[in-house]
Amino acid sequence: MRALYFEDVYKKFGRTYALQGATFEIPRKVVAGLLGPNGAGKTTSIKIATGLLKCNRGKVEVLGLDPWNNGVEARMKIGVLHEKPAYPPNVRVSKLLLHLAKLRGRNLREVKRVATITGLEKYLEAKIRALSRGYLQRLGLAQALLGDPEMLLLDEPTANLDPLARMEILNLIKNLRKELDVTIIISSHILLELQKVCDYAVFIGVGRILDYGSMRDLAGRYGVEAILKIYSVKPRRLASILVREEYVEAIEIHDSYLIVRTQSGYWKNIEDKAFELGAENVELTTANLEDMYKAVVSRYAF
Amino acid sequence: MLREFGLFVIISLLFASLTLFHLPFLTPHQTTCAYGFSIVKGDWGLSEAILLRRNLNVEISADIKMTAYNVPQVDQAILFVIPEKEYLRKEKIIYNLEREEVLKLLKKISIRAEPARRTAPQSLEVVIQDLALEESLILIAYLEGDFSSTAGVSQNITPAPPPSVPPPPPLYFNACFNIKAKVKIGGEQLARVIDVAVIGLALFVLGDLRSEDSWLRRLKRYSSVVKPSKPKRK
Amino acid sequence: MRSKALLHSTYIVSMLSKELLIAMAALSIVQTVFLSMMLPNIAVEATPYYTGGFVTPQIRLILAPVLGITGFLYAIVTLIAAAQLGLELERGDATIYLSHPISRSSYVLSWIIASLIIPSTMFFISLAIPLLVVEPRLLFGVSGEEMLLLVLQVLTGGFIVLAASLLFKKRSLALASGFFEYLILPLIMTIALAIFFSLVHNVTPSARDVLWLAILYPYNYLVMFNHLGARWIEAAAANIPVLLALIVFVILYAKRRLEVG
Repeated sequence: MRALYFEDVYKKFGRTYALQGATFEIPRKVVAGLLGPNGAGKTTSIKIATGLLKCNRGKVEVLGLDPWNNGVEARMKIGVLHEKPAYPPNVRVSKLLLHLAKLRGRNLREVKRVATITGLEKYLEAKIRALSRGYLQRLGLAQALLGDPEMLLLDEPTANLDPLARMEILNLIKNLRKELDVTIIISSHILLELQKVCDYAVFIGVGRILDYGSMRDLAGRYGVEAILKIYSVKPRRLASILVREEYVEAIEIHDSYLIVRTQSGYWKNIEDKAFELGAENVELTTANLEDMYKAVVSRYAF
Repeated sequence: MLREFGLFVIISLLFASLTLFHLPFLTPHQTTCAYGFSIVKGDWGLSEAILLRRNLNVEISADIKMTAYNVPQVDQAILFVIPEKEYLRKEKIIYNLEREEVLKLLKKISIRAEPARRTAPQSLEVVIQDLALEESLILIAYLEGDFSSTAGVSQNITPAPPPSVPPPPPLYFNACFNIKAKVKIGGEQLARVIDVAVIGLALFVLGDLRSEDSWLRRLKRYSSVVKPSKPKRK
Repeated sequence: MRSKALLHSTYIVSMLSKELLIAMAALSIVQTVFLSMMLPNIAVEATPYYTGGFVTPQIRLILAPVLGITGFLYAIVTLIAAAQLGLELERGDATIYLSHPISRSSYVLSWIIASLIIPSTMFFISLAIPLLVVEPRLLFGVSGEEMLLLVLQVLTGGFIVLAASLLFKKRSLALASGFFEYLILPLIMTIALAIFFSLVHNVTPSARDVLWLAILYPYNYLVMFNHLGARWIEAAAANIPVLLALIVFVILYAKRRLEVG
């Protein structure tokens, strides 16, 4: 079953189309990036998927459910972090989370669980207005995690945060991916950050879907370079073997790791080879999303 | 929401109590007037003037001031305050009694009797203070005087009535009663205040303890933080 | 699982608890002050005595002076509470709640409970408790018709504010709609009525002629035209269909058209 499916979706605000014939799908258990510039229609897509907005035309399915007509069942399975969430300022963190947990049939234990995951334990008794931006984002994540959702929709999760806070949130998302068996959809215009976490992408521009697919497929489609970071105790030895492979384009040697550049279609080959040769860890920095985005945009010039 | 309802009850009760206990200081007055005689026999007469009804089961006392107008021919007047039930039993007998017997009976069955004083040639006044209203009461005015002539009775009516209108009767009793009631909150009301307070408190405590965001539990936590812990004995 | 409307309304009430408690205090003070001024004259009734015997005393609590002031306060509290829905939609808090498994109609129903039913209950409590304390019998002397019409009138205003909140998603506009409907429109209508009847000479209006006022203002209609034979049942009958239509509109709009965010 698809996690998210849009078929020929139109959404109009006044005379302006926020989405025009948007069609895409996102499979389950991936971390998908919804990528596009400001005003592309990312937030509108997330709100339609949440059932907050009704599309003028088209079909939307969230985990097999219509989010507008079967909103309660659909929202029971998803968690959403909105772009600029507005919280009641004079309410305590625990009170808000507890109420939202109760809407999902959960109790205080669930609140403590999500507070632990997001690092909010010390702030449960604080009033929401006393939280910094970073902790407000953690609160947003915490409320999205309530009830063990099958899918997380995160709209600009690092927006308006300082670099340290952004790193913390991104690490949180990475950990979520490891610890929870969820589909994560992140909407952002900051490609560099998404590059670190996504393995699926939907490119959107001016209300239209430009392309979508797994990172590997997209990279292959657009011939974009992949970058791997290979950790090894003997990086020079590893480099001397890998450099002989025809699909390796460049290698940078560092003290404890290598940076290997290759055509994205071959990154798996390099990964397998590296482990064969005793590498400790391989991180795929995926295809360079920025390059991919430029390639997509230039193909569908608008 | 039970907690909030409990608070609503407590707050309403608090303000109700604060205000109600000031009731004895509030003495709005009402004025009712009575006309005419029930009995006139020669030189005396009775007017069954006012019925004072007690509508609430609270301690009530009243200050009464009777002002009778246009009564120059009355020499003596007494205002009797008689329990209604008592008067109704004797009412029919009174019509057949003579003056002395009527006076004797009225003095016997009344709980208060005050003589009137003349405040002006044409008016009389009686004041009764702190009359306890434990049941419904009738105010009966007993009047003595020369009712055979109209001397002194003012004929100056302005504007002057046309000749076809007959002159006013020679005997006409007109009195207005100004009544200031004082309500006192007694034991029964206090008992109800306590009952309602208990109900309100119970609703509040029950609602609060059921809530996971309990104010009472938070208060307990704060008080244990503020209170220094005793040093342990070795 | 407890009804989500009830769950969310409990949450709203706890969020607004400070304001509601202040409103409750104000209502209680005003109710008690007026009642205490009326009580001595209710306690002692002086009437000219007519020979004829003992009449069982009946307490007839004429509430018009009390309801006139406290009803106004009750209406203000209700309109302001209902406009808080507009604030929530304007500020964006509603996005958070509606991103969780609560339906739009449950969400609006919770606001109906919190902003209309709760203040009505507060009003009853603030009136009932002083009467209960003095003498429980007084509760039975309260004129049910006046109370019913006042509640219908305030609920009508409240639903108009809720509808405006949903349509405009702005507290200021919702509140303005409510105050216009509750305070200014009756004034305009009364002035229009006065001008009309002053122009139409030698015609004494009957209560039926002005029954249209009761569509929105059944309580005002009864109080103003009691002397012309206004009947509470006619006033209620004129208002109830309008109130029901407003209720249906609010719930259906929420279910089918309410978009947030």
